[in-house]
Amino acid sequence: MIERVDADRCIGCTLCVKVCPVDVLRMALDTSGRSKAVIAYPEECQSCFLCEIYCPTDALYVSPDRSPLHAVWPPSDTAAARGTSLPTALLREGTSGTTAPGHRLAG
Amino acid sequence: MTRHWRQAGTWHGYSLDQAFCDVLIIGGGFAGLLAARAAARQSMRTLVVSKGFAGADGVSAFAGGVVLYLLPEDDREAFQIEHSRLSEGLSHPEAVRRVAEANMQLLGELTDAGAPVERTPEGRPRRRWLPAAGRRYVPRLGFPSTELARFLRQEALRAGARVLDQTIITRLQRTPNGGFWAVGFRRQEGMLVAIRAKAVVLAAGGCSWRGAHMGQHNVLGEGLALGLDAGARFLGMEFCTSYLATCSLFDTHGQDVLAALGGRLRNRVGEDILERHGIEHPAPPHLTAFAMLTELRAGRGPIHFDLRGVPPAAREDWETQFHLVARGLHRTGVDIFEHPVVWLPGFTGSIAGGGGVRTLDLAGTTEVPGLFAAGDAAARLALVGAGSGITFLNVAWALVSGHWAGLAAARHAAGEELSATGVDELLRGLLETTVRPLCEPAPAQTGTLDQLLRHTQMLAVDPERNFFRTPERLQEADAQLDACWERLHSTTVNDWHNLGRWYELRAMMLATRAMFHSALARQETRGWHRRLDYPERDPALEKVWLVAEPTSDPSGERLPDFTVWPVELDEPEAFRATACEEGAA
Ligand SMILES: Cc1cc2nc3c(=O)[nH]c(=O)nc-3n(C[C@H](O)[C@H](O)[C@H](O)COP(=O)(O)OP(=O)(O)OC[C@H]3O[C@@H](n4cnc5c(N)ncnc54)[C@H](O)[C@@H]3O)c2cc1C
Ligand code: SF4
Ligand code: SF4
Repeated sequence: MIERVDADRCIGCTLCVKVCPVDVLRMALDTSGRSKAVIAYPEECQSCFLCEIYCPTDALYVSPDRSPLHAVWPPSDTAAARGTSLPTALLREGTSGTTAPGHRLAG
Repeated sequence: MTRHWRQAGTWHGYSLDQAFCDVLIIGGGFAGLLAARAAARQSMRTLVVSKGFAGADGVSAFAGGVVLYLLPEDDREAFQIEHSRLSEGLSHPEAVRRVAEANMQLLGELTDAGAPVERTPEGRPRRRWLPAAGRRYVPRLGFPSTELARFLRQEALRAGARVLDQTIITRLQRTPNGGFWAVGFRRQEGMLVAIRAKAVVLAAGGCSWRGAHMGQHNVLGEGLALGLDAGARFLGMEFCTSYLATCSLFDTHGQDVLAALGGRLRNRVGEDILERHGIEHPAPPHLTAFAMLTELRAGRGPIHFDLRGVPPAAREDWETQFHLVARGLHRTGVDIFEHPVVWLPGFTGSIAGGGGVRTLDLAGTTEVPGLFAAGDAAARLALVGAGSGITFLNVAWALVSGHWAGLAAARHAAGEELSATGVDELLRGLLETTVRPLCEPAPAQTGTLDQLLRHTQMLAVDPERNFFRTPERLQEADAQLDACWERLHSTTVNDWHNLGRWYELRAMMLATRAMFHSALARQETRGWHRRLDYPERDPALEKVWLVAEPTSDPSGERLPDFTVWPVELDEPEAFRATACEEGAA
C-alpha cells in the first residue's frame, strides 16, 4: 500500500495523481500554499508502483504489503508466508474469525 | 457537424463537460487503445475515455506480458488441436484461426512501428516456446506490459484519437435521434461529463470482483453493466468463476510461467498437488485452481509454491518480464525462489473466465446498433471456450477484438446521422440518475460501501458457493444479492470518489447475478463451470453457449433476473470479422 509522500521532495507536478488508476492520490495545498500530492484514499491502493515509477523526484513510497484480503481468502500473514506454519487455510466463510458482513445484511 | 469537440457548461449547479465525437471508446486498456487507433485511422473523430490514465490502466498495464504469436511457418494444425481440447468444446476453430491470424498481422505492424517487445540482438521480435497452461505448442512473445500500454496510447494519439483520462462513464444509452449519449463524471474535478457519439466501442474491461491481482482494482464489471444498460445481452457468464494463484507476500502472478519453469505447488505435507489429483504438467489453469481449492478445502493447506527447481537464468528472466512484481517482491526482502512461500487462490472472475457482453460476430457487433464490444468486456468464448485462464490468448483477443471493433464502429459512424443535440430529455434523465446516489454534504457511508463490496465479493469469490456449485448454494447466494442491491440503492455517497465506488458495486452486482443465473442454467460440469450435482460433461451441451438477458430494466430499483437460453455455436455468421475484412479494404 502507498505509505508516504515526501512533501519536501514533491515538486507538485501532478503526474502521480494523473496516473494512479484508482484515485488514491490528490493534490492539496500545504501550509505555505504550495500544491503537493497527498494520499486521499489509501484503502484503494493496489500497490502497483505506477505513481512511484512516474514521479520525477522519487517522492513516493509504496510498501509491498497487500491491503487485507477478504475473509474468504486465507490471511496473508507474512510470518506464515515465510514458511513457518499457517493455520489451516480458512476458506469457509465464518470459520475465519472475521464476521462476514453478509450475515448482518441478509438478516 | 462543425461543432467544437468539447464544450463546457453547467447543469443544475454541476459543471458539465460535453464532448462530441464519431466513435467513443470506453476504456483505455489494450482493447480500447487498439480500437481508438483503428477508428482514428479511418478518419473518424475518435475519443477514448478511461477511468484512470489510458495506457496505464485496467488490467492491461499489469498483464504478465506474454502474448500468442503464431507465424505462417508454424504448425497451426497442432496449435488448433491442442487448443480445441483445452477449450472443452466451446471454442470454434474458425474464430481461433481468424484471431490468431489477425493477431499475427497486428503484432507484425506494431513491432515494426517500434512496440516494446522482447527482441533478438538483431532487433527482431523474439519468440519463446514454453509448455504452459495445458499446452505444449504455444509460440509466445514477451513484452513489458506497462511500456506496451504506454506505447499503444501514443499509437492512438498519433492516429488522431483524443483521450479523456480519469473519467468514469456511468450510463450509456442509444438515443431515438441516432447515436448514443454516454454520461459520467470526472471524480478528481467533481464534474459531470456527457458525450454524444455516433458509435461506441465498449472496452471497459471485465469483472474481477476486485480480485487479489494488480490491475484488478479498477475493473469491476462496468464494461458488462454499461452494455446491459444500453440493451445488450451477456454470454457465457457461468465461466466467470476463475482463479489464478498469487503469492501471499505481494501480488505475484505468472503461475503458469513459473510452473513451466519447474515450480511446483505443494500442500502442507509437501505433495505436488497436481500430481495428487492426477493432473499432468502443464496443467490447464482451471485444473490448477481445482487442485488448489480442493486441497485447501480438505484442510491440506496452506499451499506453497516451491520454486527451488527454477534454474537461476530463468529466475532472472522472469524478474525482467514481471518487473513490477519483482520490484514488490524485492521490497518484501524474501527470496521466493529460495524459500517457498504461501500462495493463495486469487479470484480473477471474467478476466480469465471468457464470459461477457454477447457479440454476434468477431467484429464486436452487439444486439444494439452502433454498440461494439471488445477485450475483456466482450464474451470471448469463440476463442477460449470453457477452459481457458489468464494465458497468452487474452492479450491477443484484446488487441484483435479492439482493432476489429474500432473498424466496425468507424464504419457504423460513417453511416449514422445525428439530429437534435443539446441537453435533451434523455440526457437530463441520464444525468439525474448518475448523480442520484450523491448527496453532498452527507454523512460518509463509506462503511456501507466497504460492507457491500465485501459481501458481494464473498458471494462470488467463496469457492463453496461459486466454484463447487450446487443449486442450493447458488440460490442462497443469489437471494443475498437482492439484499445487497437494495441496500446499495438506499446508500448515499458524500463525494465523487465514492460515487465511482457506488457504480463499481452496481456493476459488480449485475455481473454476479448474471453469473449465478447462468450457472444455474448449465446443468453439467465443463471448464471453469463445476456443478457438484452434475459432475460430468453433458454431450448434449457440447457446442452450446448460454445467453443471459435481464428480465427487467437494469437501471431500475430492483436487481433484474436473467432469462438464460442456449445458442448453437455452429452458426457460421458468428465468426465473421466483417468490419476487418470489408472495412479495411
Ligand atoms: C494479473 C494479470 C496478468 C495477466 N497476464 C496476461 C498475460 O500474460 N497474457 C495475456 O494474454 N493476458 C494476461 N492477462 C489478461 C489480459 O491482461 C486482459 O485480458 C487484457 O489486458 C484486457 O484488456 P482490455 O483492454 O479488454 O481491459 P482492461 O485492460 O481491463 O481495460 C479496461 C479499461 O476500461 C476502463 N474502465 C473501466 N470502467 C470504466 C468506466 N466506467 N468508464 C471509463 N472507463 C472505464 C479501465 O480504467 C481500463 O482503462 C492478465 C490479467 C491479469 C489480471
Ligand atoms: S501504488 Fe498504484 S494504486 Fe497505489 S497510489 Fe500508487 S499508482 Fe495508485
Ligand atoms: S509525481 Fe512526485 S513530484 Fe509529482 S506531484 Fe506526485 S509526488 Fe509530487
